[in-house]
Amino acid sequence: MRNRLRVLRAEREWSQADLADRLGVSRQTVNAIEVGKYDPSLPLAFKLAKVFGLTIEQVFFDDDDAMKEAAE
Amino acid sequence: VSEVLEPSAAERNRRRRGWAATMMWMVVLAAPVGLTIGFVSGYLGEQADLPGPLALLRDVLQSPVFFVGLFAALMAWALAATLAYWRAIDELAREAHKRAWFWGGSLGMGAGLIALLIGSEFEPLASTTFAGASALEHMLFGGVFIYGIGLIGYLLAWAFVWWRAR
Repeated sequence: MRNRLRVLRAEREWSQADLADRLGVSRQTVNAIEVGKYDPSLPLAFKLAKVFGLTIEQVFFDDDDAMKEAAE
Repeated sequence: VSEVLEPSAAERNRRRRGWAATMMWMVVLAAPVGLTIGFVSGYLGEQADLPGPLALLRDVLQSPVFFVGLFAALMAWALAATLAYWRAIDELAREAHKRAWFWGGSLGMGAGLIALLIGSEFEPLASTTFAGASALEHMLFGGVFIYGIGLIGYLLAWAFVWWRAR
């Protein structure tokens, strides 16, 4: 699974630590999600989307979907 | 969004982590305290003539009630500290512990059991190291050995999982 966390963070000028504080998790967790080493639980994914004021689908997307979009 | 952005949530998490860390450190510090109690108990046990208070201290330290009570209290404290720690860490840290127990813990204990089985067949080790040991001592050694190797496997697996996730 891939995500737009880095872009969304950059748009708001938040550091990983800022986002971690807002989510109540460690900076390492934010980094692991961001680089795709860890897929968050559903509650954390909802919380992430809520922090950015978006839906889950606007933050996370499937690898296959990303490839299809790129092909189009 | 404001519900999630509350600064007090981050502060609460920090406090929770601090409290859990304090409790865990107290469990770790129990090791030197236990060693000191064991040393004092052993030393007093070897003395022939002890004055009243020291003889009483020796009797208390060497009584089964004190031993069992101390272990029960420590186990209860360790359980409470672990619970506090588990509640304080986030889901990635929990995941690392779960994976470490599944892979490192179970493989480590399996390796420990195999090592014991091989060791028991290895003649110099089996006949000299444990010569004269009672059945209870054999059982205790086996339990501690298997758990110890399992713990080492767990720690190695945890370090690997945590390093990969960083």
